[in-house]
Amino acid sequence: MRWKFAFLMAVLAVAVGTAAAQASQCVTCHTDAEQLKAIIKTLPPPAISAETAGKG
Amino acid sequence: MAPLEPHEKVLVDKDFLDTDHGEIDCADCHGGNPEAGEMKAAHKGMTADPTFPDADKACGDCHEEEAALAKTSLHYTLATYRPTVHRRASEDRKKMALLDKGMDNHCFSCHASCGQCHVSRPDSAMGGFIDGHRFNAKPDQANQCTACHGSRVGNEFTGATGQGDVHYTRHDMDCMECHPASELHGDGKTDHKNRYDVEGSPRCDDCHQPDPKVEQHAVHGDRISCYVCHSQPYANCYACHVGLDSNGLAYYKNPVEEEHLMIGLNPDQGPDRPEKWILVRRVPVDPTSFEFYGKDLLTNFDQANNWKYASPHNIQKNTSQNRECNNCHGNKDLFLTEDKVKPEMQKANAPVIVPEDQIPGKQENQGEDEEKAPRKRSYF
Ligand code: HEC
Ligand code: HEC
Ligand code: HEC
Ligand code: HEC
Ligand code: HEC
Ligand code: HEC
Ligand code: HEC
Ligand code: HEC
Repeated sequence: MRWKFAFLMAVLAVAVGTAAAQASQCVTCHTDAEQLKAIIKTLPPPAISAETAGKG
Repeated sequence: MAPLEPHEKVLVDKDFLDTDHGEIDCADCHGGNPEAGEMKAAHKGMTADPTFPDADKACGDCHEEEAALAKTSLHYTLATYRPTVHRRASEDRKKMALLDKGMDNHCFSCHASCGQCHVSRPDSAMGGFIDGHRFNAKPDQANQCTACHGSRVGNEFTGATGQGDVHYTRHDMDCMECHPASELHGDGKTDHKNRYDVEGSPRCDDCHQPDPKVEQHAVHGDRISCYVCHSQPYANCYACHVGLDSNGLAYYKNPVEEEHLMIGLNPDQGPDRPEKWILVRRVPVDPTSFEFYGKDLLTNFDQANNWKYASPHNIQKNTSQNRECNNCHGNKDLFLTEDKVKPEMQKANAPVIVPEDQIPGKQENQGEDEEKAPRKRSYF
């Protein structure tokens, strides 16, 4: 499968050069700790049942 | 396992963007809308874990074999769960449906995808990146493997209960030294009878030829499983119950847990497992485990044994039962005799129960005789 790998990586290199994954809003937000902290303050805390007891 | 700050769970390390995987668009794997500037809109149509239930689309182009094999990995399929519980179930169709609902809520949420072994903590540990979204070749024992396999395997292995496992405490071996990718990525089979029935699953004798100079090895040959002599007491659970609380959240209660070591008979003796004597564990299922979902769901509870083959991860060279022959010979406490099993479960457990007359008798010339024997005199 080596050739397939090499081929895909080549395609990828071109794709990266043009589309620039790094410019998306996903990247901007998910690499910014302060922005993430601010958003999390507005979200409800994750819910787990308080009734779970003992070990399994 | 150290808890993560909520934002750390989803904070992508900038260096990740320069790796093979980080150069791929986020949206190629996760979907969503990469142009949207606000969270809700950006996450619309997003897949949190692009590797479950099917890893083909996200990984298959480059990791064809792993993505294909995953469909046969117990970590994906949990294929042994439903048949095992169904053996005990009522034949009534409506009750079976209620039971399946309970199993869907409580059993099938625990699966390990590529992501949960290589990228994030498992869902059951509330997720979060292991390493800033990097795809690590080697899973993280504490934050991935034992985040799921924690209460028995993890605690016993690291010594949170007992003395720990000599492979870990003395020889620094982790899970992956014995459980390689070839085992965990799936073996191509689809008819697994239980979780031991996996090609590439390890055995003690893959690495050890028991030293015949050790008397206990020499006398017993392959009639006794290594675990019987080299394990410490391990967790046995008696009464797991599941349900949903007033907020609709799944809960698990397992109030009765005991640490002990119990020797039973091997119900599946054969060329692959020749030993007659094994360790057995009380597994947590109870006739009313799923009662939250309906009455009398497990009316055939006694169709399957609830003392099962055990392979505790707390190996030591010297254990209290192998220190002297007669710590084991004639020591009824160590053997699963009939009186230790509830009357209504004796029939189902008959293949593993040890008849009292089969408990090996006390070795006469051990211990006492050594003391009585005249000491060798030294003339030097
Ligand atoms: C090659 C596919 C792939 C790419 C590209 C990718 N991810 Fe992921 N991502 C995954 C996988 C797999 C997981 C682990 C999911 C799991 O185990 O639940 C994951 C998990 C996450 C998580 C959740 C962490 C957690 O455990 O709660 C976030 C947030 C995330 N990715 C954001 C991003 C962002 C932002 C990008 C782009 C910079 C990105 N991902 C690119 C595959 C990818
Ligand atoms: C575009 C191709 C591509 C895709 C898609 C892809 N990978 Fe990879 N992956 C690679 C390459 C290239 C390597 C590096 C191999 C090496 O270094 O030997 C790699 C290595 C890995 C490694 C080992 C890490 C290491 O450092 O050696 C893991 C684990 C992995 N990938 C998981 C995944 C998972 C899970 C997915 C799907 C979410 C995925 N990959 C999708 C190309 C890809
Ligand atoms: C139950 C845990 C587990 C799951 C699930 C899992 N892996 Fe792995 N993976 C491993 C282990 C263990 C290794 C070997 C690590 C070592 O010893 O270096 C590994 C290694 C790899 C490697 C490095 C090459 C190799 O074979 O050693 C790649 C690539 C990889 N995994 C991809 C995947 C993909 C893709 C998926 C999902 C289809 C996946 N893994 C699911 C545990 C897992
Ligand atoms: C998300 C939870 C989860 C994670 C993470 C996880 N496992 Fe598992 N594992 C399971 C479950 C559930 C089963 C039982 C499947 C069955 O019995 O059908 C299992 C089965 C196994 C088995 C027996 C079946 C087989 O494939 O050989 C081994 C060995 C194992 N896990 C080791 C590991 C190791 C080592 C890791 C870390 C690399 C790991 N697991 C990560 C949940 C997990
Ligand atoms: C020294 C080798 C060794 C190490 C290290 C090891 N295991 Fe195992 N493990 C085994 C053997 C051997 C078996 C199967 C025994 C059999 O088939 O009789 C097994 C079976 C299992 C099983 C299936 C049985 C069960 O108890 O549910 C799981 C799950 C498992 N191991 C998880 C782990 C995890 C998680 C780690 C790391 C914390 C780990 N193992 C470390 C040797 C090892
Ligand atoms: C993947 C290989 C591997 C597997 C599988 C494995 N071991 Fe080991 N074991 C080792 C290594 C390596 C050591 C440390 C070096 C040595 O003493 O040989 C060790 C050490 C030991 C020791 C301590 C020896 C001493 O002198 O202190 C005992 C006892 C032991 N193993 C028993 C077992 C038993 C029982 C099993 C099955 C449950 C098992 N091992 C499975 C590799 C393995
Ligand atoms: C009937 C009890 C018994 C059984 C069964 C047993 N062992 Fe042992 N084993 C011992 C005793 C006792 C020692 C020696 C302890 C000492 O020297 O202090 C020992 C020592 C060892 C050692 C340490 C190195 C050495 O050779 O001295 C290893 C490794 C080992 N056993 C592996 C195994 C494996 C693997 C199996 C299963 C194939 C096994 N044992 C089955 C009782 C047993
Ligand atoms: C952890 C348990 C254990 C230890 C320790 C142990 N044995 Fe045994 N032994 C057994 C079991 C179980 C059998 C029955 C084997 C069978 O069914 O063939 C047995 C059988 C024997 C037998 C065959 C005759 C009989 O009584 O059934 C002899 C001889 C024997 N053991 C000697 C010893 C000596 C000597 C030691 C100490 C150096 C020792 N054993 C330590 C469990 C143990």
